[in-house]
Amino acid sequence: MNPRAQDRRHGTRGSQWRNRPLRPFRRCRDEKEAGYPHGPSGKPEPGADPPNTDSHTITVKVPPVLRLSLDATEYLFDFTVGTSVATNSLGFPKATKAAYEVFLDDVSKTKLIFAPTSITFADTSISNDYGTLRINTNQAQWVVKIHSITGNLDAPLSNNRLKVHAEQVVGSKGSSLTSMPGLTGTPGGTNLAAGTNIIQATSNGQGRSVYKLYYLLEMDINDTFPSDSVYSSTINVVLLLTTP
Amino acid sequence: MKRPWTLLASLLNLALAQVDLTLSPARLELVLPPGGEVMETVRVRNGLDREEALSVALRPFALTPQGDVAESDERNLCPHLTATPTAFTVPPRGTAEVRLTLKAPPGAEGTLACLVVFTAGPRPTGLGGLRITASPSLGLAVYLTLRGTERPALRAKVGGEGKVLPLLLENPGNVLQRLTGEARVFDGEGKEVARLPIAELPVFPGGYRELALEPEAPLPPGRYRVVLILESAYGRYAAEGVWAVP
Repeated sequence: MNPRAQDRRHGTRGSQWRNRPLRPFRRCRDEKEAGYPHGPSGKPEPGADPPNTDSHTITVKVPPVLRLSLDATEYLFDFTVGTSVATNSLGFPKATKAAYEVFLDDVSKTKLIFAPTSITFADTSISNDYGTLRINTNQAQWVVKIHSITGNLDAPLSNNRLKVHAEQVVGSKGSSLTSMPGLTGTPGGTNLAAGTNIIQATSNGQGRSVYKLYYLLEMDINDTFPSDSVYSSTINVVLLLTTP
Repeated sequence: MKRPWTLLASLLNLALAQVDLTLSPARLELVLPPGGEVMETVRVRNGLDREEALSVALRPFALTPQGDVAESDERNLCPHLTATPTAFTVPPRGTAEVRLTLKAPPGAEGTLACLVVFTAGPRPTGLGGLRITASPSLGLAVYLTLRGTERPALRAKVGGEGKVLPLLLENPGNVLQRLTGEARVFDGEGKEVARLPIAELPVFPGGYRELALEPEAPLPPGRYRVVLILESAYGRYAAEGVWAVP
């Protein structure tokens, strides 16, 4: 590292970090001589008359655009029904009564990540086990974050038992800032928390970007749920897209 | 001939979604003299066949070294910004306009910032069980710079060791620096071997940005000279450094 690069303030005489006027753009030959007959050398022929000319004004207007679309309405974890044990596309068991009973009977695990039992989509023909988040923009930089969470999961659960994972679809811009929880051992992963950035493009973010959005729930074998009622709790997650 | 909006809308046509919102402009950067006032119109388009109820909230923010938006009162423009209306409904496939009125506070200096957040309400579908509803929202970053109070400044540290080129940009001034330019990489014989572009990179006043510029193709191991050339509304800047690629 050049030690002088440690502290460079523009406009300081003698420093390498300075307001430096750059060389003006050189006009090209065609630009200088446009509209005139050219000789073999590329220069205008002596005595050549300027041609009759017309001019057109071409105006291009492109609006700055920032577009966000999400197809999933609601993620439901329901451990009261279901006799099958199935996994989602990431390999996590879907929340069902049967899957929870298998977990309670497994002495090798104290914690396990569950995928939603079902996801509700505005378009009822969709049956994915993830939400699809689309971003369209003509801006180079953008970020999607968990802006806020309304409500708290009732005890013994809490909001930090929820994980969020954004999986980039091939060809999309930017990158996911989340990590996927482990299928075995300590789950890890990215906790659902306000202020967490989940997807970001720091350059070349223009165009269409598609991400699969997963919410996952960590269950603990030591949780004590009410014995006289069925556990029920709802939270709302606000996702924010902005181009700073 | 299709107008740009029509063309964009047809190009970006999406399947039915819970929320499909487009914000334009995507960002506002304004300059006013202290005490000055301006009104701007922001358009929110609803891409769905049903109406969308939206609410508007103002949040002060700053940019982190990674370029994230973080809530901060450090340079708060929100008390001087009014959005009208703060709750409205966008018709199916329609557009709604929100007026933003900014008053440049006398006595303040440099650039102030506020995030205008447009949020759609959740659409709960049932009761019981553990449910997570999602409310997508769009944030309009609004920057206001007070004319005559600007103290632009910039420091850079370019170079280091690694497969990617480390770059540190510091903004000790009081205005937002939005930088565009490139890092030119030269080998030991002075031949240019790579150009690493930087596009509209914001560096918050009093803050810094840490970047790692990655060449399209990895460079062979060696020591390279790097010339950084950047431009913002406040001038052009240049810096040099050495990059050791292992």
